[in-house]
Amino acid sequence: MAKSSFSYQSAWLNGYSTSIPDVDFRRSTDPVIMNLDSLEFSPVYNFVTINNDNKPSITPTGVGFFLVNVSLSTKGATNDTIELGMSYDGSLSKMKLKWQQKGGNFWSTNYNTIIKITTTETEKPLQFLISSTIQSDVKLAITSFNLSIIKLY
Amino acid sequence: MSNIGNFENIGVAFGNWGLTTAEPFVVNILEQNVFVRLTPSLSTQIQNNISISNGVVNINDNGIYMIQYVNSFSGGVNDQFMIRFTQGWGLGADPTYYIPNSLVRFTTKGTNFWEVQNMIFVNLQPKINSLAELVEGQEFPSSNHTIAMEVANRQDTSNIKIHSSSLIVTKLL
Repeated sequence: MAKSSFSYQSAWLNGYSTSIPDVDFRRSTDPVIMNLDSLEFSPVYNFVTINNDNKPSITPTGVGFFLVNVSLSTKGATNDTIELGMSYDGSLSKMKLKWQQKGGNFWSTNYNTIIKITTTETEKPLQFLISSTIQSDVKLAITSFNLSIIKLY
Repeated sequence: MSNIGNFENIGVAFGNWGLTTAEPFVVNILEQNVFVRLTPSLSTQIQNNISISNGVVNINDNGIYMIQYVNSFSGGVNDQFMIRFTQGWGLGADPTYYIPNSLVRFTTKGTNFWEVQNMIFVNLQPKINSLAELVEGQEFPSSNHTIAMEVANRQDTSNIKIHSSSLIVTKLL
């Protein structure tokens, strides 16, 4: 009998924060790595927090394929078109989420992807990158950030 | 470097596809209320034992599958659009059957982006119309399945643009 993906489930994480530092991409369209220092994890199993180039992040302790879901709400950044993506060890997922800000109003959206973790070297981070297509003068405030990751295999 | 192991042949199935172009993908809608396939725009991030070809997701085992997507759209003039999934039975079958309860309705906001996301579970099993089909010597119903994502405009024939998209299919059981 064929086994299901979750027969190999051996790592998961749920992280939440309402105090992630503002994303300061002002006067630039370059991606900014999100600072995940304030994320609180519950439950979490077989992940560690790491500090990579002063960018607090997380990484799994084992190899495999991981399903990542992010639900976040933001405000600020005028009416810019924002792009959210993620990377592992500097390698970007092809999946991007694009949305448009609503100035001072909250805007809530979701991002998902499957990523491949190829090493148990836990200094290699999972990172989320945010960029703006416009050189806005207003920072992006992350009003809530909910992250769930589960190992598929 | 650690080895992920021999996962290809033991039934573990998942895939993630999405829009990877900088420019939006335009879905041409020529007729009101007629569904148009949305998935031809998608390319592969990762896949194992599930594949995509010409916008059709090919699944080669029966089971319970989780389907989730996030799409951001613009277009229409406050038109009400619909997204749904369809399925087909058999290897390479045209997925023309509506998956019940997969329909999502939303209204676009002209040139502003609008994000639509959903997550559903589907039970993909062989199609058997009657026991009479299971007669000796007849081929057993296929365990291959196909699914596709479609979009329609309820109120107009305005095209819709996809600015970002991510589709995930994971076999749960």
